[in-house]
Amino acid sequence: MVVHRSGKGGIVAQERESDEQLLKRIAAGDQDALLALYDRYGRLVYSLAYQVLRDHQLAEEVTQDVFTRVWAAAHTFDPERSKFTTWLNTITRNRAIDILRQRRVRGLTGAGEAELNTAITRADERFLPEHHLRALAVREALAELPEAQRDVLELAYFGGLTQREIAEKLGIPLGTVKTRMRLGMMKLRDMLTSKPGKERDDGSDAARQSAGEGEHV
Amino acid sequence: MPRDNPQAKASTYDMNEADNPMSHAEAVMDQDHAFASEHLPAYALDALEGEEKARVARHVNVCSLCQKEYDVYQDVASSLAFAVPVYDPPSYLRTAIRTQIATSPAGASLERGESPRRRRARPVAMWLNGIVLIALVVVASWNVRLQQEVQNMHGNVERTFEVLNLFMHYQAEPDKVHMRKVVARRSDSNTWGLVMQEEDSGRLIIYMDGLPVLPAGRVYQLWLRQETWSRLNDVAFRCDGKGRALLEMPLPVSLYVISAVGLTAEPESAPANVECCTIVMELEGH
Repeated sequence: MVVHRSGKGGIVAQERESDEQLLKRIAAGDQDALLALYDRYGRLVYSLAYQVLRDHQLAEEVTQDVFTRVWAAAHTFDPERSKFTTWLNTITRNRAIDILRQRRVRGLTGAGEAELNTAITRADERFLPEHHLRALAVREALAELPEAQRDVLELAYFGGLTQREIAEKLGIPLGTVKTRMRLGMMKLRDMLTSKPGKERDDGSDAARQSAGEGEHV
Repeated sequence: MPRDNPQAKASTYDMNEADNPMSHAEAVMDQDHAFASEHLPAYALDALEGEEKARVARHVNVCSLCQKEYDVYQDVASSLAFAVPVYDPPSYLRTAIRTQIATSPAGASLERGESPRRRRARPVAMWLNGIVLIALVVVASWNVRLQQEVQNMHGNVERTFEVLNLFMHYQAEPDKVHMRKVVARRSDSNTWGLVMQEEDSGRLIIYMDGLPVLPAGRVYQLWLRQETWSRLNDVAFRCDGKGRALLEMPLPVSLYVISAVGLTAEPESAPANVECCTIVMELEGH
């Protein structure tokens, strides 16, 4: 948060720093900036990690790893290339899937996969305030997808399964999986690019204010 | 732009070579483009494998159009994260992250770009298993001697059992206990050791062997090298008559950020003003 003070010491304006501004401070070694970013995205990272791993201890480990990586690699983020949340979610998902696949090899996978199909269509969950619109848009878009297409997307993204593994798991031809995945992603793309939440994601102050988000450090 | 219409290009590729002005390289590029375009959604979901994945990756690296398309699909894929049920991380996690970043400079690579998880998942080499067994025997044997020699020294026996317990823990759950061998940098030194860290508690145990026995009045002082050397002020010790020492201490950072263990021989009464370590033991594999 950037706080401007009047000549008499009173606070006259407050602006929330963008993700990119925080990342610049992080790259300069500002620990408070990383903690501010954690306050903003810690729940998102933790929730995604838990969704993949279904284990709170592992989700904690992933969350800590992710923010340590952000600390180490903030200077490599290119805002021209992607949004910060895309970068962050990708790091988180990859870290969680790495662990999931290792556990799968060792026969340690939990009940995660069995719950995948119901996980993202549940309607009674709390939203992250700053991502309220985005979450609504994604859920609405997913709900509009045919179930067969939604299933393969979930198995790939949250289950870390390849197309071949999905085909084996579902007992359907590989070509069918490929088709469902391609069509599902194309539809999601079309729907999300036309949703209001799409344009008001992450760095947008307007989205946060409209979602009623409070102040952050 | 040819890539704007890959199918039209593919038709061109089917023509007789004499009629076809397009080079073979262009035709291959065009086929790769069509293939990548079709598979980009799955590639963004990390759902490809083998040659399919490699072929798309190669093409995306050289095709700006597909790179942009990939970025869009990756954004779509990552959007799925917003749909998950929300859970609050435990409050202590923030503190843990604060502690962890306090010990490493921003922008520092994580050990040549390797992630902590990958480092932890690095396969344990067979030789390490052998060393574990040998070390178990050594420590067990040493434990017996220790009980005989230091009956009046409170805590040592318990500490030794903790080491044994850590070894057993390591054998049972290799992911929960991290162990690295340390060897003296100088080839004429016989000093070596094992460094172990319990993941949950962060507790660090260092076993060293082959240390020169110091004269009376001097002690070893422990140093750890991360980016720079750090003196651990509370860790001054003597080795036993056979050059062995066992240390235990909390370590707020991962063992994997430590690259070397150093020792200085200093007066027991007052710390010496030293700038370099007498003995430097590098962590193998670092």
